[in-house]
Amino acid sequence: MNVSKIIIIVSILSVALALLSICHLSLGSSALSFQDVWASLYAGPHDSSLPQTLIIWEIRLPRLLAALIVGASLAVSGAALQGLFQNPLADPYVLGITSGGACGSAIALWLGGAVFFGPTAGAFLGSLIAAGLVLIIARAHAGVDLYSILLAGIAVGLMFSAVLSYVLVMAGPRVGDIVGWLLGNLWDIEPSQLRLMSCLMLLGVGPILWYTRALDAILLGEDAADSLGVPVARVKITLLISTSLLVSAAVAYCGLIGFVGLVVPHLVRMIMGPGHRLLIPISALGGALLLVLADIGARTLHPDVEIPVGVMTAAVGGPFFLILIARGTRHA
Amino acid sequence: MWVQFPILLCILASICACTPERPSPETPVPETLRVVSLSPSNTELLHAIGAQELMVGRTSYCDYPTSTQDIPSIGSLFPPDFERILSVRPNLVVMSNGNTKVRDRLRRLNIPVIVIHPKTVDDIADSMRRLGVAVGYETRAEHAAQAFEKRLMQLSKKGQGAISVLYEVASKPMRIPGQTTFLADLIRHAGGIPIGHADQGDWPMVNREWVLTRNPDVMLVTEQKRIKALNHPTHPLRNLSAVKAGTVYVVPDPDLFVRPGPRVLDAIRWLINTLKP
Repeated sequence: MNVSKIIIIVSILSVALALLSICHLSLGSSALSFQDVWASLYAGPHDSSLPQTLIIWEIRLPRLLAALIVGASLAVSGAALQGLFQNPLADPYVLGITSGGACGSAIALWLGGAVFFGPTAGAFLGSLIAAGLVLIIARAHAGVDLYSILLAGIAVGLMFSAVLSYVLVMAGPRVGDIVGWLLGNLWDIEPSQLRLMSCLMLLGVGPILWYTRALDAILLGEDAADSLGVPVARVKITLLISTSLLVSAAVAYCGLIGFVGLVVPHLVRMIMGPGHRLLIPISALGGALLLVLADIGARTLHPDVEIPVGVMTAAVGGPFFLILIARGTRHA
Repeated sequence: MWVQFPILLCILASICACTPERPSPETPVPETLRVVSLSPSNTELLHAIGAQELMVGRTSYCDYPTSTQDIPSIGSLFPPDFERILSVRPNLVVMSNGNTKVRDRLRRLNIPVIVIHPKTVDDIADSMRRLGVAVGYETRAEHAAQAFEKRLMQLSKKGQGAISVLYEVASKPMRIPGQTTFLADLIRHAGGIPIGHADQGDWPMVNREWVLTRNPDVMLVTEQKRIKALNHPTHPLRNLSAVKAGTVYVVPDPDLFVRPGPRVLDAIRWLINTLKP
């Protein structure tokens, strides 16, 4: 792929993201004009003379930034997992991490003040415990066998899903809170959470970007990669830990947002090819774009009710995935 | 004449002193008090103390009295739409205990929040007083609270209960009010004995076996079709005393029973009439 084509595509995606971000800030349940938004952004977060300051700086802007960070994190982790497992169906849900996160936050919402952690910390704890369990089970076999990881991920996911079902039955009147959280949402984001979220994202994306060439080699097969001098076991562990961190953070702050990690890498691969040096950063851009678009739809499609953003991504991702499968069987 | 004139004056003065007291002017409230209510029960309490005129926002569930429809809705709290709450520029938010996340977020946005959550029927009068202090309508709130307490005292049959009552809050799975809930207290005021366990939490889930062993005298349900289902020849609960005796009743309006507000007196009156042997 030549450089000019890359520059054109990246420019188009960046401009689209900038425009969507402006739309995101301008649309919402309280009517603000573009001039109101611009005036508030220009005046800063401490200008209380403008009535829209709180809305823009405390609600819409943190939400936009969270959509950018989480969308990029999910897409990058999806791309890395698809490369690692050499399987186009791999996505952040495959390791059972999201089930652990969902379970942790459901327990926090159910028990309330009886536990020392809230839903965000609970989701983080749950995700990391699930990821840890998967790694321990997988390493119990000789080497870090990818099939063992996959099976362990499914088993751990099922276990946590069972605990989640128990919590839903026991939660009584809190079921609504738990289900609302589980459907994926950006409505709870506060400015104070953004710093930690962005640090976690950088910690997670950094190693993945470092190992893009290694991922290209692993696409040829583990033995081939090994013969090319790639430290395959170290790469696997590092990437699993990085993706676990990214997914845990995403689940902790925003609940279960599906299809971003599955669909975006495929779309980017169709345009840019399978090379991870381009796939990873452009998936980040694409993931941010998709989640911002989904969040705009979630907030504006229905006048009185905010649709959970996880529902929007599923509504877009599901049909797309069917089209992919249909194209795949046609070419087979 | 000189003796009668002072006596006449005294009588006249006494008559003047006996005219009914007009409510004194309210404690001056800030002109810009803008109140948002985040629960239907608090909206009804605000109306009861005459403070509805201060409201600038209410939830979509706040439907009584009908004049609340003129107040802008800030949506349901599922999920909470902070944008809409902020857009009406409240300087006081009244909420019930439920949603601590909303409460904490509002406090972080520097919006004063007051939590009004009567746990028993008797708490409602004091809640009116607290609300009155918060919005500067103390005198009106005191009148409303005293009127409520007087009517409650006239109605209440607390301590005289002999009829066991099961209130079916939900049917699939079946949930009943816990012993420490507002609903259980309402049943006691109506002269009933709410069945349940004290240690099972606010809305314990019960199975049919448990209901059959407790065998309540009266069952309260929220839908007519539930009575039809219970009377079906194959329904496991068809042999309950209440089902066989026909003492399963549909409550006229579930809101009267679950909203801790002034209309609870209507619920108690209805239940007293229903439980009459």
